[in-house]
Amino acid sequence: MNVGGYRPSNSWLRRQLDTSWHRWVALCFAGAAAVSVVMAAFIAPRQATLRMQYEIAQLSHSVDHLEGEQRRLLLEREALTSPALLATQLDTLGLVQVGPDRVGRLTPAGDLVLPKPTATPARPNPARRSH
Amino acid sequence: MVNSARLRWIAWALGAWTAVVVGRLVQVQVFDHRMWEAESARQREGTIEIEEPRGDIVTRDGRLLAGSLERVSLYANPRQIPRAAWTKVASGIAALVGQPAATVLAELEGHDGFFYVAKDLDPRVADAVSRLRQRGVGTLRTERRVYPNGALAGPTVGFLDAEGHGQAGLEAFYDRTLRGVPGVYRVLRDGKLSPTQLDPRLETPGRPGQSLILSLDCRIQQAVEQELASTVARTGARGASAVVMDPATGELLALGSAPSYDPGHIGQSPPDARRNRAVEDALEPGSTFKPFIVAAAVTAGVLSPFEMVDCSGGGVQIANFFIRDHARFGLLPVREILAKSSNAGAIRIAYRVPPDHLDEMIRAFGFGQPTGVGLPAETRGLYHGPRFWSVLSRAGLALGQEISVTSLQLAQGYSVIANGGMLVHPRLALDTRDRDGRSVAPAQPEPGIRVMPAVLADQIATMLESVVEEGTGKAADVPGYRVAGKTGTAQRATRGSYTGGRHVAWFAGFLPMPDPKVVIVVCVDQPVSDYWAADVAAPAFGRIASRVVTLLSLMPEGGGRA
Repeated sequence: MNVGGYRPSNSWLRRQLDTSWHRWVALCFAGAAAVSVVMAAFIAPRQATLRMQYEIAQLSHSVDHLEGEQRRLLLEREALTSPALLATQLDTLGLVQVGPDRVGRLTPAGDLVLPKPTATPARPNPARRSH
Repeated sequence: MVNSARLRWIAWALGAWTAVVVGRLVQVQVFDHRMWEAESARQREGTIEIEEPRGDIVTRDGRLLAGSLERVSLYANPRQIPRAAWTKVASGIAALVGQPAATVLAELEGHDGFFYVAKDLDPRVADAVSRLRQRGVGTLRTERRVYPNGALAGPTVGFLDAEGHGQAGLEAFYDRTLRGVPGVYRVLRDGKLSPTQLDPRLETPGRPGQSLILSLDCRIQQAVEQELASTVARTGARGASAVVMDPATGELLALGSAPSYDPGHIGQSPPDARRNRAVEDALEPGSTFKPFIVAAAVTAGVLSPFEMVDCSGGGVQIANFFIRDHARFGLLPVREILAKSSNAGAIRIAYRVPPDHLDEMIRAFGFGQPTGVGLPAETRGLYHGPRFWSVLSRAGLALGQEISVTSLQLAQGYSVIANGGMLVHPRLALDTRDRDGRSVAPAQPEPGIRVMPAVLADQIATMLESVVEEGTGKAADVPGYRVAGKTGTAQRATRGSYTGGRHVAWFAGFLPMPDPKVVIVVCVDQPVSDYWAADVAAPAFGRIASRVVTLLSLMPEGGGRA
């Protein structure tokens, strides 16, 4: 509701100066520091966890790569040492196939069993024709 | 002047309309919420399956017969790449795939959408591609099947098709075990409702394929294949097969077939070489079948193992047919009938056995049915029961005719004699292991089924020993070891007659006597230079056996493994 001719005046107010403002500022700083310490204590472990997770992710990637490389090398080694390949390279590698007639055996009792000498290996008689 | 009645009607109508809309909203948003959300997801999203790494196939001595390598495929989609960047993108891709930049650029210009720039690349390419940070260029994980031992046990291992599904051999039979369970990922659909590879989210985790541990011994397998290849080359045979089996457990130490093929280069092999002859070729066993006739006669009580049988006359008359022997014999003990492989003697014994009992024994030895070894194309062989027999059938069976067997079936039959009369089914798979090497499903050895008394099995084994000592199988001898076995030379029927001049040479035997550790069967199909089993199959048996006893460190005189 408007009252004609009335103008409010605040000239009767007098400025009041806060003489203890520095105490309030110090309290604010102290509060901020306390909150920071509490938050740091709360966040720091999580931050460490986060950093470890990041490192684990990176290392997992490396492990995957290395496992893949290990797998590739394993397959390569298998191929290079396959019996079929070795059989074709016996002369190059200085290897000789050994038959049972050249192998002596140690029995569980410690006796050496030498192969029976055979004069001539039994081979088919070409003249013999049988089922 | 406002008509308040009309206003009231309008207010009521609007209110009712608002109530309907709000009700429908509540129904859609609250009550049918899940259904509409699922419908939305169905339209917006799809699922794709991403294969897990395929399992290995490993021999009992730890050799890798089949394994998988992770690879990547590099793709590009020119629609998603700004035209101005094509040259730069092409040069970036070219450096990764080892192609000229001009070639890659031409590929970009020649395609309207998604295409593979290169496949089967090193997985490190994926990192390099992600560093390009270029929309429309990416990689997909793939897998390459590798067979590091080449053609070794090729027909047994089998091969995969382009989609990575097993097509032959163990790769086909154990496909589900080796493949594992693919992981299911939820992805966005494109404008044509096809699932894309964008933003995959794991919905159902997959399970990596399990590795298969075989009973095969890589060294014995190699020795067998080497011998088969040289036998085929030397005799001009069409093919050959061999089986090395542990008669006590049924474990197959080698399963050879020649010619063979490298599963890693399947396209370079002729179709005839892709057959596993040891389980897919059913052939007449010839005289190697005679010991089973003897076993049937003794178990029927119509023959004594020490009896003398009349083999005189140079043959035997059956109805209107005279079946000749290959030599003139007189009275022969059963042992010598086998040692000299007398046809007349075997026929006379066969006709003493009641047909039903003979049939029962033939089936008890495992003939006429697949062994169940775990190979997809295994044949049951060819054998008809007494209902279909003619007057000559028992004579045919005595000579190893009117029945076709595989090398594996014959090895199974000879194992019964070698192990004291128990039928043990051959087996290839010993175990399956998960990605971490833990045993998942170890195969339990079966107890076996008694086919004949142990005493009789030992007597027949001793008879077969004389075949190698003084009979037709001398070439199968292994110096220092006692070997038992039987030769068999069968004519190969062509279009219903035996006039084609084609033969199959067999030798089936075991060692070291008197406690055999391995049964070996050698089959040479259609040798040209010489066809008698004594000259073709028996020497091959001897050479394989001498390698096997060395590799397994078998002691002579049945002393067991050293």
